[in-house]
Amino acid sequence: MAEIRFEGVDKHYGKVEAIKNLNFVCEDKDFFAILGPSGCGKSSTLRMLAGLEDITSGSLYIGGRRVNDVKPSERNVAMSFENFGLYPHFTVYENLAYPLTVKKMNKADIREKVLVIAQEMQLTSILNYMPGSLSNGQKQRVSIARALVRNPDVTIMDEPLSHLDAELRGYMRHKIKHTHRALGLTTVYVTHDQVEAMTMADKILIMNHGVIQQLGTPDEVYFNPANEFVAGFIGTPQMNFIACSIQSEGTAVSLINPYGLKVVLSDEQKHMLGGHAGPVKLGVRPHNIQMFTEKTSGRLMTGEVYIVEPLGETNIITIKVGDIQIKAETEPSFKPKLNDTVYFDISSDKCHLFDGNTGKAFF
Amino acid sequence: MKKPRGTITKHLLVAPALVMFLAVTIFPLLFTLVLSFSNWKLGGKMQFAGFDNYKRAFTDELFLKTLLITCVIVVVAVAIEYVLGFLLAMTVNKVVRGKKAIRILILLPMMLAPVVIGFMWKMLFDESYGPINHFLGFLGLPTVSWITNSTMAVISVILVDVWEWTPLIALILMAGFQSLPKEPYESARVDGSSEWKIFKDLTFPMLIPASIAAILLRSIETFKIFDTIFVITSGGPGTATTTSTIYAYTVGLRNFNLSYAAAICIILLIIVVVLCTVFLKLVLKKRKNIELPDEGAVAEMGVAAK
Repeated sequence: MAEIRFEGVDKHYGKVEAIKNLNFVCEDKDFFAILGPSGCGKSSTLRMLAGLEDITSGSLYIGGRRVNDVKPSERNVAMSFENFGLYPHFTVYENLAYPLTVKKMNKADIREKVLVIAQEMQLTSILNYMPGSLSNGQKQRVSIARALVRNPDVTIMDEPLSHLDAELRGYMRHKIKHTHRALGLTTVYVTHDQVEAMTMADKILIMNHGVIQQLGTPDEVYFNPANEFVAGFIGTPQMNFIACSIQSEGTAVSLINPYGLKVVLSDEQKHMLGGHAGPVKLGVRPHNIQMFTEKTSGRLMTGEVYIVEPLGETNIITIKVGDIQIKAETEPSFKPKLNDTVYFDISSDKCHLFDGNTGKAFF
Repeated sequence: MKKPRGTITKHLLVAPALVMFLAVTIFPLLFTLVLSFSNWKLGGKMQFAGFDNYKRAFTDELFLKTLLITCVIVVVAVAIEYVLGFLLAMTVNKVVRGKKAIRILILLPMMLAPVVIGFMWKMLFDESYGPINHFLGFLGLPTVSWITNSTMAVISVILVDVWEWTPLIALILMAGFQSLPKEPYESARVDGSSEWKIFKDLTFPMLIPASIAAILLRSIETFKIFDTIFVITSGGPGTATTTSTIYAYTVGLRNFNLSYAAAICIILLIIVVVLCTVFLKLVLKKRKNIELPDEGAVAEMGVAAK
């Protein structure tokens, strides 16, 4: 069992509060991603888990054992570092063998374990190389292999793919996910790349400014973001946020903005909005905006084409509505010219609504 | 293709340095070599003498004794300098504030001229009036014949060399400590290594290149040691601290047997080159490669492991 539990954990660096009141649980055998922009405290969280940083206050449990004062070597966690952290004067074989040598395992067992993991990570042919002569992709695979070689309770990965090129990143994503399943690991994975988190993780913890924003499955954080930050961080192209005000006409409630935007809310949405009357932000993902070149029905809003970004299977079109810009994802056949007038529609069942002041999601 | 321009200019610009190099390094070396195969006394005629001078050197007990003394001084002094320098560098590396000031203080002995150091220590070592013996007497301890007892004289000479040159080794190793990467240490902590093992497996091996440079540099220099010893003991008492260089000086410039002195110098040069090569061969061991198995064998192991 290697359930990880953070209970009210704070981390201060001098006067800087890097992490405030962190509470979460990572279940045994989960692939748990911690996602956030640079400086959000995700690496500090990870380093506290590994034991490389002290915990200022609060408690950290691994498998039910409080490990605040337990040395990294006694936590049975393995870590793969962003900068690989390989031993430069050891060969790849010696790098992989080191965690086992430290445990005083006998040589034959070490050799067998290293060869198996090397085969798994396709390192067999480079076992006698020095790290200095490897490519980044190979170094990263060595680093991950070294983390996996000793059956750790928890495997920690700190942005392992950030130094790789796009193609290799895709390959390694699948490799890591497969290894996680095959070996039945509990993996904590830190990244600033939402694609990595979405594609690999069972659970995603999103952090910003040292505070948890949301914890959920990839579907949950994508379809039901807890606040504006999460909604904006997950998904590419980014969700559109449009400042609106609430207008009530009889029983109907709609969102309007000065540029002719109008979205009528459903009964359920009205209920979720409660009696809120202050400023709000409408959030809508680019592929939920329908675009037309001609005005066909009375409900459509008008904008001017600002940028067209063809991606092959879709086009990303940025339109200007007054002084705001809205991105829409359309069929590749829809190719308006710059400065054309286009018409668009936002269906209310596909949009999100956030409090204009706090950013908290209504739905 | 355009012809590279200014080839002559390039050569002209390099010429002065080249001429200097030939005049100062190559010519004396070749001259010494020629001299060593001749029989030339100052003022006389140069005559070819074959290997006579070399034969004489290997049967000259005094020369062999000076070689032994030189080797003892080199090994003992450099070993002590390395250990002290390493400890010093490690300590200074852990200091947070005032690193720069400490570094400058450490370097002071190195900045003094060897002759100054020689006179300074000669004065300190003086048996009757020297401050060291004065303090020993003050503390009620027996005084020591620092430079008048044959064994003590060798120890004293080593002591001065250690005092003078430990800073250099410390400096080289400090640079080594500063260039150590941070990440492997975190890996090792997570991998479960103890502090001592981290030092043994990471710090020390990663400092080997710097250590080799320091030890080699100091060994070569100490092998040629002359000025401090010349000033402090002049090779005495008797021949107790006569190193091979001092012996060569005595033979060549006191007894004016220049050919024999030249042969001694050439022998010393060969010994230094051979010792350095052997040392490098010993230290730079070839890394251990493991035998790679064929893929089928590993696949079977994998199945067995699961």
